[in-house]
Amino acid sequence: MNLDPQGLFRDHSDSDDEFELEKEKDPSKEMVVYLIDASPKMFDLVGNDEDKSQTYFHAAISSISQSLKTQIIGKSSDEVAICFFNTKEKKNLQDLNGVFVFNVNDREFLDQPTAKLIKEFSCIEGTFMSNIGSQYGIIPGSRENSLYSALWVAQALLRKGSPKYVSKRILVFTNEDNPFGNITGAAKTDMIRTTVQRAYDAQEMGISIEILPLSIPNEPFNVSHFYADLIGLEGDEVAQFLPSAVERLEDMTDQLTKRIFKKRIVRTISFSIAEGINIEVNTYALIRPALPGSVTWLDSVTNLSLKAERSFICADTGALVHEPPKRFHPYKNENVKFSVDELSEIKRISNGHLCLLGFKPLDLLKDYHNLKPSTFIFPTDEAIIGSTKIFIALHRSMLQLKRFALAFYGGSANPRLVALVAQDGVTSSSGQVEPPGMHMIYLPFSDDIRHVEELQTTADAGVPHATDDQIKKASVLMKRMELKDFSVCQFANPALQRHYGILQALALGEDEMPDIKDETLPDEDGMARPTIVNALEDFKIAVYGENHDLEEVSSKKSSGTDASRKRKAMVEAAVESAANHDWADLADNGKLKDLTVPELKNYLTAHNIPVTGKKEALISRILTHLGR
Amino acid sequence: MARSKEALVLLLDVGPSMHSILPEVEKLCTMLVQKKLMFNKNHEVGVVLFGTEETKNELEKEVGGYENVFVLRDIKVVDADVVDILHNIPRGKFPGDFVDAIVVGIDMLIKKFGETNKGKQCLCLVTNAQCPTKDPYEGTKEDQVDKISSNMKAHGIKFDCVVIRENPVESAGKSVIDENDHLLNQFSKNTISKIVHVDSPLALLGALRTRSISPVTVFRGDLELGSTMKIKVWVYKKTSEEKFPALKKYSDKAPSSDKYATHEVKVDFEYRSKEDPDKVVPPEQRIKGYRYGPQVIPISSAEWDSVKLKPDKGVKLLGFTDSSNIKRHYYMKDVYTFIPEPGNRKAIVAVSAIARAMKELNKVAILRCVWKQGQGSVVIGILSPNVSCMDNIPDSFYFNILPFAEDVREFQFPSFSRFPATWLPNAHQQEASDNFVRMLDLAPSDREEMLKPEFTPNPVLERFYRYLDLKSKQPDASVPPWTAP
Repeated sequence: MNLDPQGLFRDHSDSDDEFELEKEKDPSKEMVVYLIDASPKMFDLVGNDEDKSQTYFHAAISSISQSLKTQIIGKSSDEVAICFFNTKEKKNLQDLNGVFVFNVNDREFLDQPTAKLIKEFSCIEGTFMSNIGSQYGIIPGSRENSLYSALWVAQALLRKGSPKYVSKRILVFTNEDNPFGNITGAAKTDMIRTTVQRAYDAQEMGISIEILPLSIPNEPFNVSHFYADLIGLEGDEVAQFLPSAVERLEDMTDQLTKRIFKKRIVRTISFSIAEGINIEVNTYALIRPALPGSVTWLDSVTNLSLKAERSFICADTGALVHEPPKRFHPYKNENVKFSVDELSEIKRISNGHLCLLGFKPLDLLKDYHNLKPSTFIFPTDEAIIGSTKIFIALHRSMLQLKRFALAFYGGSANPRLVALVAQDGVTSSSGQVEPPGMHMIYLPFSDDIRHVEELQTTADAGVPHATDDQIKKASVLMKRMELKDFSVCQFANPALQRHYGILQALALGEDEMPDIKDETLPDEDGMARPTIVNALEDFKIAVYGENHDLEEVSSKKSSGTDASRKRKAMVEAAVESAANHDWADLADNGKLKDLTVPELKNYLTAHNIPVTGKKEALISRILTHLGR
Repeated sequence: MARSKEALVLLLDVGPSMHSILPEVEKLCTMLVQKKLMFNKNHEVGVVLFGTEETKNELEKEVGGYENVFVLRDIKVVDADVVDILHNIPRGKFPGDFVDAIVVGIDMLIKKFGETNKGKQCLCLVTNAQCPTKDPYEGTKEDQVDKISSNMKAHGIKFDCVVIRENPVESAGKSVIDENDHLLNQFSKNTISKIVHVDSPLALLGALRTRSISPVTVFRGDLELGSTMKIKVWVYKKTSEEKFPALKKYSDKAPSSDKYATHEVKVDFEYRSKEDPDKVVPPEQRIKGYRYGPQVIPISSAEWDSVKLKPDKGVKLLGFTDSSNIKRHYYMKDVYTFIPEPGNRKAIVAVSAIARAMKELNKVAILRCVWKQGQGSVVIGILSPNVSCMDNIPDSFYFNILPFAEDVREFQFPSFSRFPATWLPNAHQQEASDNFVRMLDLAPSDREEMLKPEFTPNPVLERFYRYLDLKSKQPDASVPPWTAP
């Protein structure tokens, strides 16, 4: 029903929590201008492998189109513009040379990404040279400054929307760390000064400028040549800004994609370590289930969206009630009434802080101590100086002593015990894999844990356990069926891919439904390898015995016929009983409701129609079947 | 339905050594009964006290003995009275004999149900088991316990026992306690039973499942290791958040004279077109629209069903990997448990072999699951071993859902070592922190683990049920103040 698309990576669990929402610092909408350098240098090949070599330009394009695809699924209210600089052709409202704003029909320059935009953008490389062209715009003897112009165009595009509600960003993709390298003298200082001034002006207006450098190991991108000044890096920050050099293009695309997304802070919370010691941490939702977007009801005649109106009706009198102030719960044969305030008072047992309770060894955090996705926490010194220092000290102690922290956390509703697990930073060639910080894992209460295993308890101590030989066979099987390079979340969600594949096809007016490969199915070929088949067979014989399949078949046969005979008998009985009524007559006179549910079910069973649901559903199903 | 009609006899130790903890026992028992009142109205409850001054039980009248065992309430369907009784349990003056109380409890159940209701009756003993039990007339105490437990087994009576000991006991009582613990364990060997030891009042509240939920399988079928090798398993939820009860909206429109008024409120949705707000669009003229960027794409349910993903039901093994490969924070949801098909010895052995091998080699399995035919989605998850430490419970697995690529945001964070030195702790500070983490230990070796999730009840729910009971007596009572445990 909700027309406002939810932020995908926000914390949904507490969204009913108004108090918390107010505290969110981040404007929820984003406007981004992708500024892509299209100079000839961007079309150099990356890597040495002749066959697989691709250009820097390709890396930029594919990482942007990947993030656009994510964006259209997730935060569809975000607006983007795509703008190339150092081009032959020009297309921009200011009519500046060397700047080309890429767009498709039915769309403003800065607007929400559409299916068409993504489609045309992702295959732009084929026609880029002929339609837009590449040409370096900053040359000696000319007053042209394509970088300056590009920033100007981008800033003009971002003029709409107040920075209070919208976060505005310009992302510059380039592999040229020294754009004014080929000019000298006063012209150079002048150009640098005006360009940096332009960037400062933009930043004054609340626009953040980020640089996403593309570089390879033997040619590292040196940010201090020029870009440090442009984006206002100082001292330590310059040293921290290490563009990670990469060998492979895929890694470069991966890294760019990771950096395109702005870190969204879910909220800033106070973490009380002990009496009188509080620090501040930011929480981030790094893992949240991506769901297919919500459904909007449309008028099938006009295809325009409808407004849902909710009204409350008194079940006894039929009178319209305004939002009723009281709730009730039946208890001991009466209705106990509560006011809304009383209910929220009951739930308020936490002050919204994260309160440390103590530490436990990591092996006490069991596999079943889980309820929902974890939240990542990282310290901030913004309000409380020293937060980072205390956090890092605890982080290191916990890692070293192999303990997790137990804490109590909750907003004004749904407080929980949480485990804080320290995670050290892990980096691979494709960039940071695990960020350093702590993961907050939501623990169940005793009310939430079910002791299902105990259901199977038998009074006799005769439950078989595997013998050493059987365990050994299982170990062999395990080694054979080892997944090579398995990493969490390597699979795309087939249901979601399909969902958006269909929507994309429909949005573009394509007739063919896309064929989405389900990556989650087991590797049939791999499973058919003789080593695996043999290990599996050995294990099977070890636990099931030699003649298992035969026994299975014979037992199945008897049980199968049993069940089918029973079902047949049931249908026959139903047909017989259903014949006792004149259904058409009952339907015409509205007398179906006088029959009992089992009587109605007889009809449904006799005609092989589903028998689930409430009485009304059964009746309507019968009516449909009778063609009424 | 017959299966919901469970019977429970509470056997409560009220002897002098229990007095300090009895307020907590009262809380636990009232909560238990309250939840039965709300969720399992047909359940029956009896209450037996032991260690009382008076004696009142049928066995005493019939055969003699069984002194200081007092039947406070016969086995009856739960009602408001039992809540009130349990609010105020009379304190006793004598050391209680839990074996006597168990026998009285069994006697009550057998007299009430005879050969019926097997497996749906339960004794729940709450004691500190600090007082010596009487010697039987003949044979040893062990023999007596064996006799009793075989009787329990024959009648399908389950046995739950909570042993509370707040402080380590002085050596004088040690031998009695050891004997009692030994006897209680003897019970559990032959019957379906569970003994829980707690050492804090808070843990006591979490020690008993106060709400009985009849578990429902999520999936019954094959765990497919390969096309030729399958194991029959049943899948249940292991954890599932117990939500705050959904309260109904109250309508005061009905006249107070109307005794049959439900006071319920129905919610009605109407859809109006945006250009013409007066026009209500009937349901058959509505069509679902899915958002794709700025576009909303209309598609009918039937059309959608014909194109959406329709995976086949099944649980398939993708392979094994090192458990260290999967970080704990990737677990996405509540947890499932895979149990070998009950009574199927082959399945029990097969699960056991894999679970034990996994544990030995520190491996986990990756599975792809579609629980139901016609379900439009697939989950990928990690299967980890749960090796049983009890002889009469089979080995099983836990299953946690892992994220898909779309579910993860890879935000980049600066490495701590890149921070300026002024932000980092010095050696002295680091040492203080190490000590702090060591000192604030919630699982010291000489005690039970504190704040164990299994024994920590949800404070909000507890507060609600307490307030609900209070309000049913005083409708204008205000919310009791919250005191952190």
